[in-house]
Amino acid sequence: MLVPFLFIGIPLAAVVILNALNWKNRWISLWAAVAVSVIQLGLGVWDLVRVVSTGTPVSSSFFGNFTVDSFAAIVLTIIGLLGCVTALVATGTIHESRFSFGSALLVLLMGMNGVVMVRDVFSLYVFIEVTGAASFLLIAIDKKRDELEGAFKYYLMSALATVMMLLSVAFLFVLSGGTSYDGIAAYVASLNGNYPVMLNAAILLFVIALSIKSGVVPFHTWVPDAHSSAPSPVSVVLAGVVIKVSGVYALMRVYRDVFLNDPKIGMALAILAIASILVGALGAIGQSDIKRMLAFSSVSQIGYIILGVSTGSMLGFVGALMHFFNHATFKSLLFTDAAAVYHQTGTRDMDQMGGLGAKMPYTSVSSIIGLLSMSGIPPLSGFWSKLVIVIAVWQVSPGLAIAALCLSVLTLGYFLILQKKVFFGKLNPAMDAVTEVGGSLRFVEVLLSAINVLAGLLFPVVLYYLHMRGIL
Amino acid sequence: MSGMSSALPLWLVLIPALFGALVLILPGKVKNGGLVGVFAGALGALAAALSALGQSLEFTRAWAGWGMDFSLKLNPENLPLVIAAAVLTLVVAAWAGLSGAYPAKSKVFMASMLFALAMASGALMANNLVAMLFFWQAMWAPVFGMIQAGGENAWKTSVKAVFTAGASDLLMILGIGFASFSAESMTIDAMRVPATALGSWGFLLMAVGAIGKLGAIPFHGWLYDASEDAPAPFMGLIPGALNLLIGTNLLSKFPGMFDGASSGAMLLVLIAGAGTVVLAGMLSMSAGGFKKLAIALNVAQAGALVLGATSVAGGAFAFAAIVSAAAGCCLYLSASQLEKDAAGKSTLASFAFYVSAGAAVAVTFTGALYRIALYESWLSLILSVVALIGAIFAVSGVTGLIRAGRDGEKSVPSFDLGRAQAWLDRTRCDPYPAARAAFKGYAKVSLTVNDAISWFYDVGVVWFVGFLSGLVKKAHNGSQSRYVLWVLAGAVIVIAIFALS
Repeated sequence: MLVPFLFIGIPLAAVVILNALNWKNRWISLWAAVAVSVIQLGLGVWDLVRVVSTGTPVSSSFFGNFTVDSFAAIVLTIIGLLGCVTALVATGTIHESRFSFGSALLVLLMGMNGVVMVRDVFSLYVFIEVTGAASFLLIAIDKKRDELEGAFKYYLMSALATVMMLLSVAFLFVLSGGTSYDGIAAYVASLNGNYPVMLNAAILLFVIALSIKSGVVPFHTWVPDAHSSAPSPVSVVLAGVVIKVSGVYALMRVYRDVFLNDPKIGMALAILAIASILVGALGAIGQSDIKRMLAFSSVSQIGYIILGVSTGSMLGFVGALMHFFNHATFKSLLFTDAAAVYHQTGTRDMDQMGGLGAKMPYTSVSSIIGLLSMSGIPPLSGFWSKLVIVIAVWQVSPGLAIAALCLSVLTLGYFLILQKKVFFGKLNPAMDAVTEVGGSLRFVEVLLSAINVLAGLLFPVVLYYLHMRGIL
Repeated sequence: MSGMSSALPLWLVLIPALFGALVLILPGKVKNGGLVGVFAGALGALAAALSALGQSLEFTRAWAGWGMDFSLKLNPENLPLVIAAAVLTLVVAAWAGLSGAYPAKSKVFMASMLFALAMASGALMANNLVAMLFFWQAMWAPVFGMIQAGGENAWKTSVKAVFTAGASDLLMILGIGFASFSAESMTIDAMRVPATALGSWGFLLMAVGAIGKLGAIPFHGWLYDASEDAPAPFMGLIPGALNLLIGTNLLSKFPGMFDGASSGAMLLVLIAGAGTVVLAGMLSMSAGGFKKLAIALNVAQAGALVLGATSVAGGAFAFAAIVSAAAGCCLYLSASQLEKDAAGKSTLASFAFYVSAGAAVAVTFTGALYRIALYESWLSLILSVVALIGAIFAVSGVTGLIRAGRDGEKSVPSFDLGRAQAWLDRTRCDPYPAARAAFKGYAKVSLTVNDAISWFYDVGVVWFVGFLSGLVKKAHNGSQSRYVLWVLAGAVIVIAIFALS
């Protein structure tokens, strides 16, 4: 079966063809990224339906072992959606380096798809590196000082993570004699909890490395700088999907499929998650740069996803994936809104804004939808994912569930601050000439808003289906 | 009692919601389109509700698994509340149309009114705790839209409303979790929460959620800002009417849902109810204007509703919610009109204000007397008597304002009670002079308590969150070396967790 390989092969072929032909038309690369993403979206949905209906994963061993199970199919679909959104936002905001942007985005898609489908820790490491390298390129694509600094910080933190991960892979290879998920898992299971020091070290190194990639507190420091300094479409894809695939998803896979839901990892993740929810939200409240505020809010929301993962239960994983999807859609929506505001006003400083709601009604309403969803207000999608996560955490530790619930009020805090400073209140006279964005940006705003509302209505049906199928 | 399966309960939610969506997408050129939409949506909902008279209908579909069903139930107990919600939405829309009190963003405002009606109807009919929570929380979106439609000053109100009600909603979610876990069910009319510690916490926290929705003390502070900043139709519809209906409706289900809470939990709820009536009664005595008096009376009747609805026969008391919602709605609308007009000009508004004030006071008395009549324990009797004293204060607040207007002490319009006032003076039945003389000091205490609660929300919470946020901001100073130290510290923490667990 070739389908899993197509997720690697199609973007790879597109990059090679684009660069081999060396077309002068700079638009072609962005539209190629849109086309590849749409194909991936279709393939992802197709795979998802097939995997869920048959109950068996799809594998291919052409140029490596790739497997698509239900979790992977969901994430591949999300990557397709976000790839498409990012390329569309780029058509409206990237004016220089369009060709390079499109090529790097295709490489990024390939890297993330690999992370999602691989079944051995070394390949996981390789594809995480591919994703990281493409991300550095994208952040620094315009070669401006801020962008280079953000990319450098991301690179430095990634380098730390890389060293740790590689060392961990080496330890695991020495201990289990291989690097496949199944082989290591069999070795871990055979120990009955009596882990040698080297295995504990390998687990610790992997967890810390992927925590850096996930941007959870206290390993999050690169997130605000990289997100805020990156060009707008790069912020969309970074916050929307990159850190979640190369960090959170990889962590979930390793925790579940390799280390067999080790309770020590679960405990560590739960504590890091609660710290992320708190520090991320407090950090967001204190910002005046709109993108920096959204970046801190990503740290907070990723805390919820990690909290779901930390339970080690199927319900927790499903809640985490639901919030993964939601965060991908509402955070991309909010970064698109930020891009629209920046594009029209020329500033990201919220203290210089105000009253833009009347001038930019689509952007204003879509930001309210995104923020309400993020705050977990029904009928939007965020309500269901947070509810499922809280229920899953409750089953493991009621205290943590209560803490997560109480801290969610802080989300409302920065939601209101953003709304007040940007869209409500008195219009800054200097912004009297501001108009609404059009074209691809407006299309993305409407599309992602609609997805947030529709997902909110459909999530209970999905949960019911999974419940009835005995998956949950 | 199981009802006949029907989609009508669902339509009661869908009709106003669909009209709300229609209003939103109406072109701006359509004159009065928003207002017409509200009338059509609310009338449609009213007609659908009236068609269910005398029937018990149920709409239940499997929703999200684990007992989280989408279950709506319409029966003779909650049908009057659903009808009241639709009627009061019509009243507020009519008032907005007649008085010209269109908020600046009227389309958003009118659509929000319909969404609020849809969600309130859903919350009133929900027969599953998660479905109830869904509608209850979904009211946030229209509430936010309506407050923001008020204009530039609405920001402060939004913050207070969000944090006050947000906090109480969070506690309610916890309460729902505790109660469902204890009862092993989420179906409201089937669940019996045992009187365990967890069950009692469920009772208490869910009661806090309902008390917060009712706007009882200490969740009333945002009303003062809202009465100044938010459009009057918002005050009339949300805190004045819909919140009272859904809050009381939930409380009235408690006697059926809980086998009995611990005496401590019940005592705390009683104290909240009686304390609210007394403090609000005192606030009414020191209210210097119509809006403040309207708030005090509304808060007082919220306290009385807490007392009545949580009693052993709470279901029967739910009907008082209809009177209180009508009174609350009318109080806010007429108070807004009176403060806008020159003193003594609005006879009709004065009349409406005093009649609704009388109704609010009557609800307050009824709550206290109802609880006394049911006599559950000595403690409940004492607290009910305290609430009765609070109701007397509330009456004094009303008569005090009438006097102030008549005697020219305050530039407020006064409705001339004519012979009735003369009779009150002659027979000394007006409790105001006695109440004022006797409890001047306590009124000051109530103001101090009120100010302290406002300070907590306005200054305390803001300062504390700002302080913590400032610390986080300082810690992220862009220094790469510091960030590497963060990572090292994190690594130490993770290793420590591993070592200790």
